[in-house]
Amino acid sequence: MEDSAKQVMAGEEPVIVCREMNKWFGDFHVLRNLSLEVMPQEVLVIIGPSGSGKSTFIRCINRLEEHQDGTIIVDGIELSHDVQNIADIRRETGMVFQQFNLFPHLTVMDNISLAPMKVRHWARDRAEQRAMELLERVGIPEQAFKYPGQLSGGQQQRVAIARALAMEPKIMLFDEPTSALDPEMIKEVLDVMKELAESGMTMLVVTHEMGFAREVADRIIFMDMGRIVEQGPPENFFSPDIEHHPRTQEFLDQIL
Amino acid sequence: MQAPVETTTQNVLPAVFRDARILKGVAQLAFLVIVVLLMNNLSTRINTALDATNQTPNFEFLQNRAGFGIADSGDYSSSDRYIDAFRVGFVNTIRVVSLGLLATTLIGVLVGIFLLSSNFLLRTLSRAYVEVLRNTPVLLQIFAWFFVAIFALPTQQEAFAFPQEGIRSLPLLQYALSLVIILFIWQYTGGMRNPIWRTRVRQGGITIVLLVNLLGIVLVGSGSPIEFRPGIYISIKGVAIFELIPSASFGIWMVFVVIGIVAAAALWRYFGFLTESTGRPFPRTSYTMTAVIGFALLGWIIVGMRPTPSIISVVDEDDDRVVEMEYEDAFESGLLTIEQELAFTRQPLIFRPPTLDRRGRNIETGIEISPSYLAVFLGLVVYTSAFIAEIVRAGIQAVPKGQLEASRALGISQGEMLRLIILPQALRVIIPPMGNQYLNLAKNSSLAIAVAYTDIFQVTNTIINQSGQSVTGIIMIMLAYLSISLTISLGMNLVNQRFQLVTR
Repeated sequence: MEDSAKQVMAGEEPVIVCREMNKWFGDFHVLRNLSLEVMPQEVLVIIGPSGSGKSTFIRCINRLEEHQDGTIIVDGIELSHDVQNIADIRRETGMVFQQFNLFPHLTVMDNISLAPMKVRHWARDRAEQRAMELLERVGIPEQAFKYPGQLSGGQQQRVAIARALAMEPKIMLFDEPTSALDPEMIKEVLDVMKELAESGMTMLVVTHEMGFAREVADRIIFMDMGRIVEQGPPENFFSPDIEHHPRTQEFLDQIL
Repeated sequence: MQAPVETTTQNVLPAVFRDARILKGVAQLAFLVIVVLLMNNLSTRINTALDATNQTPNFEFLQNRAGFGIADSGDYSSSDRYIDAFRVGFVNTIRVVSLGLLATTLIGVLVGIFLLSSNFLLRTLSRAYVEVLRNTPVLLQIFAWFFVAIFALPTQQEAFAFPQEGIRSLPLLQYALSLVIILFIWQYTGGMRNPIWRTRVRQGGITIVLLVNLLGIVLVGSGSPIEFRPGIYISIKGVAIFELIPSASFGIWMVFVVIGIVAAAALWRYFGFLTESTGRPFPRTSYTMTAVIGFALLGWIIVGMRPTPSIISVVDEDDDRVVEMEYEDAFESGLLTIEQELAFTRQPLIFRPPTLDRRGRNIETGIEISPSYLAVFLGLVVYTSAFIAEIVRAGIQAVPKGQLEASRALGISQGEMLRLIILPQALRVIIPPMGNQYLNLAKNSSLAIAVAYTDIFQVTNTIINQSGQSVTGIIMIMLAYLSISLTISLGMNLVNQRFQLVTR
């Protein structure tokens, strides 16, 4: 995709809108008055210390967690207790997990083609053809008829990305996709994600990979204690010349 | 190449009494010799003792007359041979084990799912069920069924009857039809893609059916009177159930039923293929059910159209003379013999309610289930179901939470998640311990002796007491249980193979 498509156009509607979002786990206030807008084709990288609510935040967007207060609108559909709305939103958002969560009793091919057949009602031929295209895109077409247990961690995570893409989502959510991988395998997964970002996919990525954040992100969100402490383009965020929020500075001092 | 390392032990054989290989061999040989000597000694002693009392083990005695009666024995009588008595016992054991396995699986799986229910009352009740039942001895439970539950039932003369005898007016046909129509609307709209229209069609359809129903009651009245004859009696003497006897036209009807099943199988495959190739879902279950029920009904109607003889000769009740009369009249007045009815009836199956013989003691027609059988069956089923419930609960909980999250994130519906993701993975964990519980049920069935149910153990025990052939008897009991257990193991292993995961 050409560079012009990557630019976020003025006046365009945001694809995700969160307003005054609050969530509690029992007495623990996980997300506090979180407000955020994500534009189409934007790549958002969310960083922060553990327990800051990053994962919980992106899990609220496809209702794996329920937010208790505030508004979330995804692709023009408001998330509420309406099951049809939840189903519609889940159809438009793909998710990649830290632990891959592939279905161990199905082949790689079936893992990828299951949801398009059952949810989008595609014919098997079409779903399998699409699965094969995606496997080629993530670089492992030769593993199509193996089971997840026979693949390496990096290969499993690439299958998981292909599985999420098979539903042709408008938004991709990544929940620490490289945290469970051996250092050698992290690169192969990040390369796939980089290619996906360049193709114009809207992405929300929770990660500890600062190199990836610096290189690929359009915007970096720093979260702490359930709040967005600071946000901005990576060149500003990682710049030592700009004055940061003290909490951000503390975090950056630790990692850089 | 590495430089050769100087060793002192590598090329030198160890002393014989320090060689691990030789020591292992000697130990095994010694063990074998001891076992053989002990067995030989034991069998010689047993043989000598038995020979001295004229009880040399043999199998010829099985051909001798048994001379004892067996309850729950079908066509066996006391003049039959020992081997026939043995066979009756074996069949009785199979009867309690096979139905028991089926029932305990159904109840166990259901309670296991209830244990995970979000409904507090259901969850707590099933937890109590499991804890009480698996923590008390199964023998106690069989006794409880036999001496408490069954003895609390009324006598045979005052037995509970279902349905209550009498003539009642119910628009039964109308109710049944409405229910069928509602079920069909529900099922056939399941394939509709637009959920809003699906709801509208369902609500509209059901409203119309209910309105017509109300109108029907107003217009037709309260329905036609129906004569109810009890089909099931429950008393202290057990349960008596009606029989369905195939008549002369049963064969023709079965042809329709078989065609229906074949058509259903073809439809199932065809619509499966259509879903695969177009992606569109179809209500396959409804189509196949329609085919089976439709053909069975059609067959019933066509068989019912065959002519009956207009005049038939029957024996008059009052003066035992043979008289000619209209078939319909003979049928109405109940003068037809069962053979005549079976030969000329319009129905493929005849309903025969349970009746008592002239003395009012024993069941003459119908199927009889003895209190002993009930106690053993209920005791084993309920006890084992508590263990199966726990296995099912653990199996479902063993599926990682991430699997559910992945399916939800993909938008897979709740039902398909259960069927395609959770169940295949849970079964993998459930099946091996389930097999153990099945084996337990089969072996625990020998407790039947406590309530005098004539299973293989009880019958062979009597045989041993009469003939003195204890060694042969015990060997035969062992072979009988071994054959049942090995069959169960084989079946469970085959099922288990299907659900194993492929890993590296």
